[in-house]
Amino acid sequence: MADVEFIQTPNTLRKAKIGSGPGKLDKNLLAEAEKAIEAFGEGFTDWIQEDLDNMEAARLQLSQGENPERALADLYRIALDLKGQGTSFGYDVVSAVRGSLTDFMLPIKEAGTTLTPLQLEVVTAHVGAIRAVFSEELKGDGGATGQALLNGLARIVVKANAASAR
Amino acid sequence: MSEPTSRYALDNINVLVLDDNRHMRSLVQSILHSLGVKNIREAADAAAAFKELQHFLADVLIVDWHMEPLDGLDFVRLVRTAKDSANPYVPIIMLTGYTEYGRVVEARDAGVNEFLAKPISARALYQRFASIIDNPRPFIKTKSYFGPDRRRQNLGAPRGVQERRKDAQEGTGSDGLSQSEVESLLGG
Repeated sequence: MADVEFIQTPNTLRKAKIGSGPGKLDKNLLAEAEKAIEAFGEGFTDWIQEDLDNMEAARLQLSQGENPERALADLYRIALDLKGQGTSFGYDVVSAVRGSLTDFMLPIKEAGTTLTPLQLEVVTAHVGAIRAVFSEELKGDGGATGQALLNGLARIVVKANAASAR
Repeated sequence: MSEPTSRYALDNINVLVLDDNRHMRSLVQSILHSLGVKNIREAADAAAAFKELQHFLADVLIVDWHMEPLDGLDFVRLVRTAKDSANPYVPIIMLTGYTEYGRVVEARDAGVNEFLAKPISARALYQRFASIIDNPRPFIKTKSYFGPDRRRQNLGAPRGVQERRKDAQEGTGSDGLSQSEVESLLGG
């Protein structure tokens, strides 16, 4: 048998194109779809609440030492989702907070270690910051408040990482 | 003379959306409906999606990466290589917040056709469908890979990718790739 086999697959999506030549995106459909995203975003702060509650529940479990590995994985997964959801609806600063949180959590998660009190404090601060962004409706880069939140988080991350390295 | 233009008719294709976040599933569904897609099924986990594919003849799969217990990549590998896979050739769009170089390469090597970075936009999703429809890729089977031809167009790395690759190898730099850089890596 040859090392590489090329397989020409049937083009089942030929039915999805009418006419020949280069396809053209339908501007009207595109506008409708953009409207759908916008309409969806109007209820965003309500439905994001469920994710925030789950995040808080995972954080609480961590603080009480209940199944910490599971709680850490849950919290990490919700934080990852927030990136896409936050930026889809104008909460860009959430993406930055989430980036800080997941960068901080990843080595801990991969090492499978238990959170130190200082590390838990960092996680708690990030969860609080994410809640604040939504409750205060800090859209875009979050303005001065958003930047102050990010600066504060960066400081405690540095402190916790320095303590862990000792 | 210019070539006649054609239009896309997404109303007769079947799409399966796999995402463990029900809000994201709803959002993707809303966008697809607006773009004219009528036949949409959804699944909240990989096992349910794989089962659904046994009787739903999906033309395109839209798959989120970060899920448990099986993640999106596990699911793609399952669709591409499992003996009981209903359609190993089905085009797959990976929807994710991960756009770092190593992640895109990992997705490509699992057999993903297109990569759609979050935050999701209607235009980007529409364009991914157009790309799949206009540029069907032959499949490649080697000892270590089965999936869409990753070398369909040898465009080389776009500006910036070499530098990011170096960053990734050195463990520095965490910025994601742009959509055009992702497309080039995927062979699009």
